[in-house]
Amino acid sequence: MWIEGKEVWKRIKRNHTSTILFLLPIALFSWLVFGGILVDASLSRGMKKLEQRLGADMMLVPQGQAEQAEGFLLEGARGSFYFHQNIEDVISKMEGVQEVTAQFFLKSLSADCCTSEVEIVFYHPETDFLLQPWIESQIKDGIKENQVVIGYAIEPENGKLRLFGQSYDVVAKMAETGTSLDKSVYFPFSALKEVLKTAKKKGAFLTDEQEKEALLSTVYINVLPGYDTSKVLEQCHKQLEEPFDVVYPRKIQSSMGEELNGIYTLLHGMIWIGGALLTALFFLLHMIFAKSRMKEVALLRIFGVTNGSIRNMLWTENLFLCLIGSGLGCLFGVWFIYPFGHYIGMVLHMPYLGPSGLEMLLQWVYTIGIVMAVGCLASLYPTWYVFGKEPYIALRKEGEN
Amino acid sequence: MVVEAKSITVQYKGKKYPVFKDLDIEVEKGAFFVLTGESGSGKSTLLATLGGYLTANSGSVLYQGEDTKQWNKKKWADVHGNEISYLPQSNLFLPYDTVLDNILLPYRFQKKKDLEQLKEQANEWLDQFGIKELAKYYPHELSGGEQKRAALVRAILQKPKLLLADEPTTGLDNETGEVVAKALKELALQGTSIIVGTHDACVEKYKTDGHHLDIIKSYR
Ligand SMILES: Nc1ncnc2c1ncn2[C@@H]1O[C@H](COP(=O)(O)OP(=O)(O)OP(=O)(O)O)[C@@H](O)[C@H]1O
Ligand SMILES: [Mg+2]
Repeated sequence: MWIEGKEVWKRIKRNHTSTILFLLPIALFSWLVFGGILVDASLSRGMKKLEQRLGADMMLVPQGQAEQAEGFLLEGARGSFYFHQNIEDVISKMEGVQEVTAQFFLKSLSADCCTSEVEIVFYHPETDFLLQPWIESQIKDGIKENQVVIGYAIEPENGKLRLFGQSYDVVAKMAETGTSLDKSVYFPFSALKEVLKTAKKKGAFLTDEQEKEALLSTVYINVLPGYDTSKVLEQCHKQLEEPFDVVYPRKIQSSMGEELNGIYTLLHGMIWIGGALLTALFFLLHMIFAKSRMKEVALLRIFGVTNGSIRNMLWTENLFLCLIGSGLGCLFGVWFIYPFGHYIGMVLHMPYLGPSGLEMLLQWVYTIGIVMAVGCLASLYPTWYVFGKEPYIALRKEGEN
Repeated sequence: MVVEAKSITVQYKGKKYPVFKDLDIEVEKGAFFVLTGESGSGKSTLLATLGGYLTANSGSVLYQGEDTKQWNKKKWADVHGNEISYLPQSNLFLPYDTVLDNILLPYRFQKKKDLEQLKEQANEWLDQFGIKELAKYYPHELSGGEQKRAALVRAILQKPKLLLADEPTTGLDNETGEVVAKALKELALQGTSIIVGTHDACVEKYKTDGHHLDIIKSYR
């Protein structure tokens, strides 16, 4: 095999025009496939994070607030509604509950008290499973009372955010969501009392509820895999004192998913059409160049080189080209698509999260696999064609080589 | 017999008449057989058919008594790699290999052969044919006659049992032609059966006590 490898290399170097002609569609094809996989994976990663953020089987809100809550999930505009019982505790002990976390909403406060009009959310860093995917990686040792996480659209000043005359350290920024969540400020629950106090001192209008017994606005619940949500709901109805409504965030999400599917269809369509065109071009090139190989192969056959060896040689040659071409294509993909991922997400209005190095490597391997498969198919024709004439006839055939 | 043809007919596709029809020929082991005939009479065609590079439309070619029709591709590759050798009339080389690499071409695909030793032998032959210093050049950098000699080196390097040489001395000056003819005769003495196809004009060089067939252009 190594001997043929050497032969193959010689043949690749032999003809620069044909080498470049072959490499071009392979590289473009690889770029398309690799880029497609990259964008695809990044979008679905973004969507997954979104699913995690909105990813709760159930969301409980005080009775009559379901509509408002749904609106919040889609648009991010919050209401002010509250439970007075610590239902998070109660629910966490129920059978079939995998995780539960509470949030407290403070509806947008008038602008003159703060640097900018914001919506404030208090969350439980210990139990949270909705915000974490967006911020976790950036907070090192947990969030403290004088610290905040800010939405994507909020600009901190020197790493600080002024709110109700108070200055808070910004420890992390959320990734973009494209909703008014981007204008939210996230406090740990432990800061709730203190923040309410300063807000009131600064003359912010608080409702009676906000001031007194209100404990939380909503809880998000995930049930154990395979467990029936309605069974958890039954327990809630039995054990919770306050009347409530249920919202199913996952169902609301599906509209987002549909939009994404539309984008996928477009993206995949582009890849398939482009891929098919390039594959056709690749096949065509193989057919055109097969003719020029005939004489060369005839000479090899005349001197007793087996058809197997010859096929092997043509095959390996093609694989070499595919490897080089797809390497170039993927490199170009990394260089061209990766840095612009953020803009792609913005243009598509979709959460977009680029892959890690390892994932990219896997995608590269995957791309090479596809390119090799196509390459092998395309080289079937020449490996058949060159044996189509008897050696003597093939050797005498007119034409170069 | 090293090779014999029994009633072979070869007709090219699209041609009205066969090149030859029901032709019989027997070549004894160790023979120096010369095929003559005017241009277009079918010398090259017959050589190719005897060597198995072209299949006759009818009739059979026997190699060492075996009917080659029974052979599969693998057997042919084996015979072409080790026993039957060929000097084509034209299109001798791969353009992207040096002359020496071209000479070693068949052997570069066979792992069992000792390339270094063959290289040495090739250089000796090239030296004898007066083109040793051309080994490192590419085929297009050689004259027609130089190419012929180099291709002959490739053909005889493996000491074949049967050598089919199509116009080995055509295009060579008299002196070099003699050298080549002499080398071929020596090879025959060492046991290689040789069939040479050549123009009438060249036949003088091969004067042997061997055999001679003059193909007559019979179908035009
Ligand atoms: N590939 C081919 N297709 C069709 N006809 C062919 C082909 N090769 C040769 N012929 C014809 O077959 C006949 C014999 O050709 P061949 O080359 O065997 O003659 P030759 O005796 O070797 O001639 P020369 O001395 O010119 O080399 C010629 O009439 C030629 O036109
Ligand atoms: Mg001829």
